[in-house]
Amino acid sequence: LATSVPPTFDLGLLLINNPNPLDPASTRGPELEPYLAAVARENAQSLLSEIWQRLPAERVEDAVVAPLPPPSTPLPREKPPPKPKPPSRWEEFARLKSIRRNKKEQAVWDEATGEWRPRWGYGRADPSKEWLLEVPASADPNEDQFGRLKKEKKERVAKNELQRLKNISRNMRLGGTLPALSAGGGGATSSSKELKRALVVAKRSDASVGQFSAKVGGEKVGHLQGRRRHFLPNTGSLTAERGIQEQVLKELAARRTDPLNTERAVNRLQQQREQSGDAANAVDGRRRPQKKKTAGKVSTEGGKSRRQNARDSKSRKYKKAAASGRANQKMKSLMKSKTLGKRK
Amino acid sequence: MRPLTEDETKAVFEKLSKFIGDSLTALLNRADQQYCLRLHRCRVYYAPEPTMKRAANVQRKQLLSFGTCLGKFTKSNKFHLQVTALDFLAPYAKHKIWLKPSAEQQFLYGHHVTKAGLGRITDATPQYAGLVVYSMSDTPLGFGVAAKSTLQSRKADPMALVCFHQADIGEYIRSEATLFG
Repeated sequence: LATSVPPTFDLGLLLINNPNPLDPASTRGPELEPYLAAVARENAQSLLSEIWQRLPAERVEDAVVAPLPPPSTPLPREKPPPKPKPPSRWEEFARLKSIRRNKKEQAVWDEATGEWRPRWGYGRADPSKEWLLEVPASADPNEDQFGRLKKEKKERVAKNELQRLKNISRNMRLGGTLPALSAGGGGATSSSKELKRALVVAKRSDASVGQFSAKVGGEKVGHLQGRRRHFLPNTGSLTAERGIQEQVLKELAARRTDPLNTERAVNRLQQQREQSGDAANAVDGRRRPQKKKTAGKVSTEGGKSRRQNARDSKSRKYKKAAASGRANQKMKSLMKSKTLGKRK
Repeated sequence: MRPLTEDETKAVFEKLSKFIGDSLTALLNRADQQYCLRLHRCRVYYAPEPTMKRAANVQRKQLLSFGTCLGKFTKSNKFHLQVTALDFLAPYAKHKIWLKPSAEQQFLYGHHVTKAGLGRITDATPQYAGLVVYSMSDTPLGFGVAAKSTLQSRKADPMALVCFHQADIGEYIRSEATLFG
């Protein structure tokens, strides 16, 4: 009686570990393939039954789902481990000369205002914001001291930026990776979409919310990115405003479907008919001499063209309608009013 | 104070064109001075440019009004015309309605106009057109919307509504507090 070891499972990796050896008799000859298939089927069956037995099943939109636990088997590394960052030129120099970082206090005593000021950031004693600068004895009296400070700061910033880029290029040359962008969420700039997002965030992360950030070539910026809305300037040239107004007026004019106002023409015609009908049928008891009318039939004067006949027929239609209206009104007035004379 | 955005301009022009039609261009391109539309605290003001520039120098919270207030935008961004616009829009009105003396008082209290109070109406007025309401002595009284077209109103019974009230000059007394924000 062969005792079989029960299989172990790592459900997080959908792994079944069956350590039982294969039957040596069945692995020879023609029964190899069906035997292996049978073994695989049994193992798969036990894996599935273990999943549905062990894990709690949930129902998600007419599908029964069992969430897998985290994997318990340690797997070997997929990618090689990251190389340590090679030290920059300054770090190398500091190591050689054994220069250590001095931890600096955040607050500095500012003599001018007589109070403690932060060393950096909001409220610092910025030398570029001095209102008075002494001209040193060694300097040219016509030199602009404020301009000199600004220029020097610009040069320092540019030099720092250059050093930083040099370090990055050295890293890349020695087989490193690009430094992570903090705006991209801590190094997760794998896709181009995330990179674009990081660019947008970086551009608007200044005091003017990116209004003056230069546009990088080929960059598409949505006009309403960020919470701030952009309005036209209040005073100044009114051309942009006029442009918008012209545009809107054009759209309104395009929407108008009936420039000739046929409804108005038809109404006018109908009113004329009604008015002329009213004049003929005055309801005041006195009969007015009425012209005899031929009801319905219209005589055709010989030799008219078809088009003329058609036009006549249209006007006839209106006259007929008006005439029938007049006739009705006449009847009504006769019914209503009391005629003093004899009716003809 | 700021100029109107495209959507706001569209809403204002649509409303104004219901009352004055194509004469809207006459309001914008004036011969004497350059007029402009400005939005201040949800109200649209129509003022000449020098006036607007001077008003721009006043603090936002302390600026009450400048030029003429045409109307205001509601919370849901709909544009409502105010009676303060009457002087500018009445001369260009497309459709007019004249009220009998008996109905004038009712209209000035904010009620709608019934057929019994209707004196005259411009012919070929379509239904729901913007109307300028006049008294029989040709004094503009306010704005309204035609509840019935001209033909329909001729055949209507005396108690039927002919014109919906929108704004009237009685509001200068009734809504004194709210008319200027």
